[in-house]
Amino acid sequence: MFSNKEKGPSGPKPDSGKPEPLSTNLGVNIKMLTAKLGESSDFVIRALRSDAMPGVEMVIAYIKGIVEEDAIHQNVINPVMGWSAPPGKSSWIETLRQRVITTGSTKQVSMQEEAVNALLDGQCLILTNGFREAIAADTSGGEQRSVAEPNTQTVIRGPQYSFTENIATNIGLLRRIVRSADFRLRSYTVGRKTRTTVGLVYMNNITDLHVVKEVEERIQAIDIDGILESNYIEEFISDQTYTPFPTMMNTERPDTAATYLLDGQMIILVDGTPFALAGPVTFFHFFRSAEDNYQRFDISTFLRLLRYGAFLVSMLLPSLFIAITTFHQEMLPTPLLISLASQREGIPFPALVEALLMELTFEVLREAGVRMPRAVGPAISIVGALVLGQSAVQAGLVSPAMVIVVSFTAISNFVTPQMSMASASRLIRFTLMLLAGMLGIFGIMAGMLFLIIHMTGLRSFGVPYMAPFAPVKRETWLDMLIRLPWWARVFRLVAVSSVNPRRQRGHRPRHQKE
Amino acid sequence: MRCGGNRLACCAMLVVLMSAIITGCSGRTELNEISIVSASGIDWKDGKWIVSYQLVLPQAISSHGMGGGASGAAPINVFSTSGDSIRGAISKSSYEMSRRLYFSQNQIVVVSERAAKHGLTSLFDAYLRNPDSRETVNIFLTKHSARDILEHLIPLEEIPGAAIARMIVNEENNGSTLPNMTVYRALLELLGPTKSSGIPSLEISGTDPLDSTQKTAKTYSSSKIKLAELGLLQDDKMVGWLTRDQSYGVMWVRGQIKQSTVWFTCDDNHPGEKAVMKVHHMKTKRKAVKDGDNWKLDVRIKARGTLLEYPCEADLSKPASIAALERRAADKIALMANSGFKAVQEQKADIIGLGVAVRLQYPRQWDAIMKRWNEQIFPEAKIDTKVDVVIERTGMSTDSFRKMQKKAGGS
Repeated sequence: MFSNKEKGPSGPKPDSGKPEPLSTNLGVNIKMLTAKLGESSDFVIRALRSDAMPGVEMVIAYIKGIVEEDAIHQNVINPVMGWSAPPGKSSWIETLRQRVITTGSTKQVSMQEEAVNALLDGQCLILTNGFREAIAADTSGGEQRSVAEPNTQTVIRGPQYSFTENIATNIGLLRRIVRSADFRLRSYTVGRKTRTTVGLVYMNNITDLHVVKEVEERIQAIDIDGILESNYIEEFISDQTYTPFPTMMNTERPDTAATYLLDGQMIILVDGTPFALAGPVTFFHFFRSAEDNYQRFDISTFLRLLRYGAFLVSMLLPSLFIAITTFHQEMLPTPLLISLASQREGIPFPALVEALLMELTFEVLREAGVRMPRAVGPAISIVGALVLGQSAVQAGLVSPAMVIVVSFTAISNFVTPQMSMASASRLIRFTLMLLAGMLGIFGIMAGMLFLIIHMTGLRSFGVPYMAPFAPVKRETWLDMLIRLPWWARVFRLVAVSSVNPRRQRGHRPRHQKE
Repeated sequence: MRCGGNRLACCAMLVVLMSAIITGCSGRTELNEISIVSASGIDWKDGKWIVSYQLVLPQAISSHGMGGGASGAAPINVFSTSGDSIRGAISKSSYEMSRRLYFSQNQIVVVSERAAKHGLTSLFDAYLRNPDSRETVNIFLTKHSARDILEHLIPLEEIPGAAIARMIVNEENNGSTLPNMTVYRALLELLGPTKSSGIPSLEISGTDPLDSTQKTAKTYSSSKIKLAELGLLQDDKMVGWLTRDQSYGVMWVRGQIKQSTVWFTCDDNHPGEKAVMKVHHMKTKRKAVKDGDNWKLDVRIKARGTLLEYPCEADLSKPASIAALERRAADKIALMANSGFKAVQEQKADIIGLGVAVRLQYPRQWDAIMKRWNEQIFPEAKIDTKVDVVIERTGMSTDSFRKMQKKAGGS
């Protein structure tokens, strides 16, 4: 089912060596399997004997917990036990596979390693004495979480379900939305120890196949012992590591993933995590929320513009505050300056230190809020809000204006729909604050210039990060910046989708008057 | 991170480090290291410049909710330094100040009459030369010492400097008697063809200046700061004063009326009863006309307004009576404009703009007469004022109160 592509450089590879075939002797095979699996107690070997097939020595082997035992009983054990083996041993295996065992997929294995991997994938193995070939029937299953509401990317209006940890379920969810024959899935097994299934989904006539090929090669080149989350893949295959900006998006929403697919992006699903990756992306993709598509276009446009603003605020506000109050006091209206000056009276620290102190405090609070056990939540909010906010002001350690600036910055940061982009602005903020404290607005501008140059140079699977603005792509820039009415959204967003750039004809509905 | 592995990251680190080392945060000034000057005053006494500063005390101003604070303290503090030059005097402020004086938020500069008569070259030069002295500062003259004006509190307001700046803006928008002069506009006029400018002045009315917050505890103020007359500057020196009425006429001729109220007699039989019109739109066209050796200023004023008061008895529903009313208003405006023109002529400082018009229309002749303009030619010039007034609305009633009463009595 899944091709095993482990062909990294000649590193340490414990289970390597020449592929050895299974033995024809059932006893030898059983011993070999038990030894390879280290005599684990969840490894089950059951002999299959019945009056219907006298003289046939057959065992079924599987690992408990990762198989669906009901399925084994009904689809494998029952039919095999009731089977009367025809004479003429030679066709037994074929007959068993094709006529007797009623699981969805079966395959024939003849190598030791293959057999072990089949067991570890949750298949059950039927070994017959006298045959080198074993049958692996797909009975994988076991306990898993059911499809639930999304936790991190919630919408008010729109589908209310999210991916789960099971890749097969996730692919199913995605396929159920995009019921097209152009839906393509490529699967890879990545990770020497975890042998995690990674699925690459794209649309045949929309996604640029050169990019698909490139991504495929990058995934296959990954050499790691374990993949536990999609970020492992993201860091391996993204174009650049040393950048604060993410060059891939992630989503836990099947509908969002479907949107990306239709825009010509690829979706990478990783077994064991509900977060799917999407790429290629541009900077502006990170400010699109799933809900933009489900709300009226006017409010969506407003909210999207608000998000750009909030992103700038969360990146720039503290540094601008520092720069203006310590270098460019002439920029402020007199009453505001006097109000700020009166708040600063008696504050022992320079504005830069004050801001850094508060920002770091907030980062600590935020991290604590994420890490702490749920039960101690109220304690943190009391300490955070009362002790640190109010008391710090009353004690004269920080000025109230700074508390407002830091709070607003923090809240603005949560507006960005993609956490990875929000984190980028968090990191950049500190650098800009230092620059502002040293050089004022000149420093901020220098930093921003540096950022813009850097961003213009970024690529996500070959797509310029600042597209469709640098380089200019006139067809999509309005749709990228604001949300057009659906009938006007003619072009697919991503620059790579040159294969099939038009989404629809793009006519205004006939019944609507000018 | 392996350096060299990524040039970008290294560059970023280098930039941050370099800016930290090179600048050393030295250009930084925290807000509690500056003292904000809200108004400054220039005096000239015994051959020295005396510069006064009105410093804002932020704690005293926004002590609301800041845990007590010094309530009852004056929101400002005034002190002076003297020296041979203006900037020299300012630099002496460090003898007595713990903080750097911060002039960028300065709202007004008050120049005493004596200093203005001495000449303001060094003040204007300081404004043109230094980036922290903003030319958008309002400039005022005063017959008192400049320091007295700065020491005076203004009821309702926390920062007197800012309040005076708003006072002249308010006057410009609602009365238009005196021009709102910033240093920039004064410089523009003084560097223009006629080298004259008019600058409003401030006066303290009352004998007991309001210089302590204790005095503001009462329901009335013992004294007030008021906008007074218009001081005329010629070259860099003050040459004389125009009264408020004269200044108002000049404003009509210069077309600087934004909104104003004009009153005029509406019935010759009752000269004491005035109709009042609010002018909310006006336009002036000025043209210089050569009249032999003399020059004539052709002024065409168009004004539109609303009737605010009408005590007379004409039937305002008839267009003819409105037209008559408009004529009376026009006559009044022309009268004021002419008297303003005459007053300026007497002071020999052409702030009217006749010289500017001559220069634009007759550039060759201007070169010849430029030198003699203010002294000889301008005082001989004539004015021809034609005013066209449109009363657009008569307010919410047509008949005057008196007429209505008569009607009621008759029925």
